[in-house]
Amino acid sequence: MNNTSISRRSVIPPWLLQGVTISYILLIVLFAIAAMINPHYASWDNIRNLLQIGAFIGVIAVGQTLVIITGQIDLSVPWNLTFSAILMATLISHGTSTPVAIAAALASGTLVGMFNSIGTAIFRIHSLVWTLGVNAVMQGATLVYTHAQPPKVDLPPIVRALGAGDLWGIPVPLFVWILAAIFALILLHCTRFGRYLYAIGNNESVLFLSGTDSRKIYLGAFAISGFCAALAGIMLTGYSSQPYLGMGSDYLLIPVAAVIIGGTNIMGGSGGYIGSISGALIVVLLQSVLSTIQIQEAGKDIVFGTIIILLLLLYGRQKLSSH
Amino acid sequence: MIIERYYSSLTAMIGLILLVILFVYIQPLILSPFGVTMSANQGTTLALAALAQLVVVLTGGVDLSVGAMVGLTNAIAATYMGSDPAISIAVLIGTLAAGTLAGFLNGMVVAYGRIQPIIVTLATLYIYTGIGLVIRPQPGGFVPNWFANALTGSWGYLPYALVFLLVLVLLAWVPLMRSRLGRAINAVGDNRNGARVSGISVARTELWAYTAGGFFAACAGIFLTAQTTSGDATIGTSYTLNSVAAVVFGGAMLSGGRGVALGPICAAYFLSLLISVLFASGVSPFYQNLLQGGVLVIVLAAANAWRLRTRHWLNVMSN
Repeated sequence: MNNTSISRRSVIPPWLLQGVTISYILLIVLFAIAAMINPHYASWDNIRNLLQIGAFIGVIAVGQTLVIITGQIDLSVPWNLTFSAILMATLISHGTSTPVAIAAALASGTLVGMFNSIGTAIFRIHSLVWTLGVNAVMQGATLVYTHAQPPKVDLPPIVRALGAGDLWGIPVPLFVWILAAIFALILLHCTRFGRYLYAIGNNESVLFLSGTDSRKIYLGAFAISGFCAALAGIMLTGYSSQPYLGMGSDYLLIPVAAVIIGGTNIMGGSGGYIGSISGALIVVLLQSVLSTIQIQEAGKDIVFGTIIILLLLLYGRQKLSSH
Repeated sequence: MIIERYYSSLTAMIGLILLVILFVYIQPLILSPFGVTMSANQGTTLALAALAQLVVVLTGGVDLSVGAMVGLTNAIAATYMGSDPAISIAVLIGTLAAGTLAGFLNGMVVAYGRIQPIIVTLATLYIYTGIGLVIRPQPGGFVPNWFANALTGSWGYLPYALVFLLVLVLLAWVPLMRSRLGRAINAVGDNRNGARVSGISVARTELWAYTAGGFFAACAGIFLTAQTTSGDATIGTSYTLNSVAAVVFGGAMLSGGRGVALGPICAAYFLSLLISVLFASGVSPFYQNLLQGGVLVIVLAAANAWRLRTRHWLNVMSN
């Protein structure tokens, strides 16, 4: 057992085997292949487009990364996002000022996130089940709130800009993403809260015994995830210029996939946002390639699911626990 | 004591009984043969999906693709059955095989790929729904009458749906759980390393548990085909979450090793009857999703609330 690991270490440096490194290599390889198939992929127009769409996934992935590092998962993103977006649009259509409407949407998302942590941290229900349940509740709440008809509204310029704007030739969503990424990296690597996130993911009991209330850490992680979902909802509303009921349906698996592809362990305790960035870009690139070679929606789902499993087989495997 | 094994099912059983009493109070007509059959038909798909979920949950895993497998098998059955009985039966057997194969693939990736079941089945959820949509892009298809009647009809007060479920439990579930494999499934969920050192192949056990899950999901899909007499690849979506809820409410532990079929079956009928009760009490359709989701969340919280009584928060954590 020891011999094999030593000999392997001498052949391949250990940093190369880390998920983060592999995911960046993968991103470069994928991009090279895509550009070889179609040179248009390497054009600035296309890269710009990819970064813009990647920003929506990247922003959601901030919260998702924090939550997954604690060993939990947030599956309430799709309808939390939709509800926040629709709440904002409805408030605007009723004449509320834009900053208040945006703040209300963000607050709603954050509250849902906090509700997620109640079930997970206090009632100790597996977050997978609980957040999926909260997702169903938010779906119901959205239908009650809109009577299945989202408002038609003239969006104020700031909301449009957040989703589709352009600043010095660079899409505004990309700026939002960069800000969110800086926030995530500082939070994870320079604060006590960030260290606690990793500590929970590794061993919650030990963290608890060393005198930290782990419930507060969960509260923070899920609240940030809810906030990010709402922010992405606002950006997506600006991007598609109207909120609609199915707007969140793409964001159940995809941000989780981005985080996992980026090398964060689904069981928690290791990983980080650097990897999630490349994960988000890989996912967007894959989607874009699949849609240019004109595969139907159903075929896309099949290929996408298969690719995620293959990537996981590549570097998401758990060690054999043979002690 | 043999009865002690069923204590965990008590909450779901009492809940179901109370709900039935409430239902009869609101809508006395439900006590007709027609009403009983209709209620039974509504819950049977979920009960079967809950069995599919339970066998996986017992190993300590979770199968998010249950709903997708139900939708996929539903699409296959409704698309290819046709009116010729011989072909229909062949298609039904093929459908069962397809569902079992889907579960087998889940198991292969989870057990031998050593990847977290959550993320594997989340990915296969997309794959199976995608395949279902390729087979049947739009809802529809043809289901022969004799087949629909054979599963959803009734003999007086006795719905065939319950007979179908009972036969499956007695001929598939009970033998499975009493076999070496069944014991291994419980052992792996209870204590993986303990199971390993006592000579159980954890990977093989997981593989067959997921395969059995696929089989029961296919049974659910077939029953759903008879109930709706059409095929729809996306119809299964709600069964994923509801099957997990039924399993949890039915007293099984998500960490594995604990759970009997009775609880999740009662919980499944409880959850599906709840929708009928909401209908009968005149709740606006817009509120139904919200109430259903709300009840689900409350049920989950209540089922876990007993854990909070413990004096040491640490006990809660290590579970």
